[in-house]
Amino acid sequence: MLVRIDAASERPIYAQIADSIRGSIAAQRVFAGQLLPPAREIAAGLGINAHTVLHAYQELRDEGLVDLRRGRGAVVTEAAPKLVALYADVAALVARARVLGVAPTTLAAMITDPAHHHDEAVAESDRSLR
Amino acid sequence: MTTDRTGVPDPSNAPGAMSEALSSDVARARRAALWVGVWAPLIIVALGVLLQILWIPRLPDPIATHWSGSSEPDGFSDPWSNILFFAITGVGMTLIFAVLLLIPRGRRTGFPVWSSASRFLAAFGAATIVFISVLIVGLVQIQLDVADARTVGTVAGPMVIALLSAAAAGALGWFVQPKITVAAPASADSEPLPLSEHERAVWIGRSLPNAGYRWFAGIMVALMLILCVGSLVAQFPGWWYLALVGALVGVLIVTTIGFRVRIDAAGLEARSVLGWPVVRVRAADIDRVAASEINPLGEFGGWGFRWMPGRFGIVLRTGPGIVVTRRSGSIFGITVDDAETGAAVLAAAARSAGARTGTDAGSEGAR
Repeated sequence: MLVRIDAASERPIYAQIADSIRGSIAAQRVFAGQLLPPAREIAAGLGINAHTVLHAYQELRDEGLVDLRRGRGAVVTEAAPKLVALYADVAALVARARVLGVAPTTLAAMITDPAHHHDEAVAESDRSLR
Repeated sequence: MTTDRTGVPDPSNAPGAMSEALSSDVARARRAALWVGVWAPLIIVALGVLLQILWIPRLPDPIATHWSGSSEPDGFSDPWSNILFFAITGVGMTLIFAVLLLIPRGRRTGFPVWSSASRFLAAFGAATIVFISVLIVGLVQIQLDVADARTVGTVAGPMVIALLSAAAAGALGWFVQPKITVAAPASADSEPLPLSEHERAVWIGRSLPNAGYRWFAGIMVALMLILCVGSLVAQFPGWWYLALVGALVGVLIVTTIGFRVRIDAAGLEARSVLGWPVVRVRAADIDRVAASEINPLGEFGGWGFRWMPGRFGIVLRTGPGIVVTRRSGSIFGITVDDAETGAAVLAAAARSAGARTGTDAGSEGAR
């Protein structure tokens, strides 16, 4: 499994590690049920602290992509491949909303209650495009 | 990839003259290897059969064919069965070496087209067949004009002669072959992973055996365990020697059953799943990296933790792997999944390590 980080990037290192692993799942280089490498292995290879890698693993756990079990390590969940695809769709949606001038909070509200917030978003978009 | 990088033109795109010279070198080396490893052994086996047939009138019937320990024979058979056994063993072993020497190499391979490993394999084949032939013929020879095979004494004489003959045959087989090394075509090299100055990458993979090797390893370890425990209990003469060999082989198989592989800026590190042994290839020592199909039998003469002259491998199954050529010319091969990605990271590490030390691979000559 490939993990790459860019020290010059503004994105935090742990987020970049999580990005790499999401990318590997999306590219089907890492499969459901697969055990991810121990955090200290990745840390040693990149010359960073193992806690940074664990931070990335915790983020992936919060997204439902991996199970973290004591003594067993980080295991890719069954749902991970589909979830990664969903997150990619969400990212595309957020980018599109930004172009259209729809605020992230409005977009979030639209997702939780689509019908009610439709008019609000149209108004926002009109304002920003004008 | 230019041909200058390895110093060896790529036969697939080099102009006619050079590639013909290279392929004629390889053809010459292969012919010599077949003579040493196949034809000469077959002639030796045929001579052995002939000699034993000529000796039949002077032999007791049955003759002694098996010795335990150091003194008296404890197994007997009629002379013709012995000749048949010898012929089948000799021809069978020779065929194995013929297959090893002739195994076709895939198009995409990072291994040399020809190297000292092939030369060694042929010489080793010659030594093996000479050992078997001299030993069996020698065991028959000491029974010439003996009335009763039970009175045949020790086998130390034929054993020593067979070992010396094998060593001599191996050395002769090695030196009569031309010393030819033809490196893998440059097109086999992996493209380095594009990394900017501030980027770092790590690749982690595993080298695991296929089901066949797992079964083999399990059975071998069980046999070695029986050998050790049996030797300890029975305490027959020389028991400690057998126990030691059994323990060594068992430990070697268990500790090399699987490896975790890490590739980063420092190079490649393969660590046994049990923590020991650890094999490292420093990025600064690397000349070329290829993601390659690895055929353990053809390239290393078998599966597992393998050494041959000029190459070392952790090859647990047939299939994709990473093949590294060091600046010294020696080869390291390891079977891993997703070898393409791992090789790209290693190629990038080798390139930046070469740039750091200022000794770019371009100045290195091959051969």
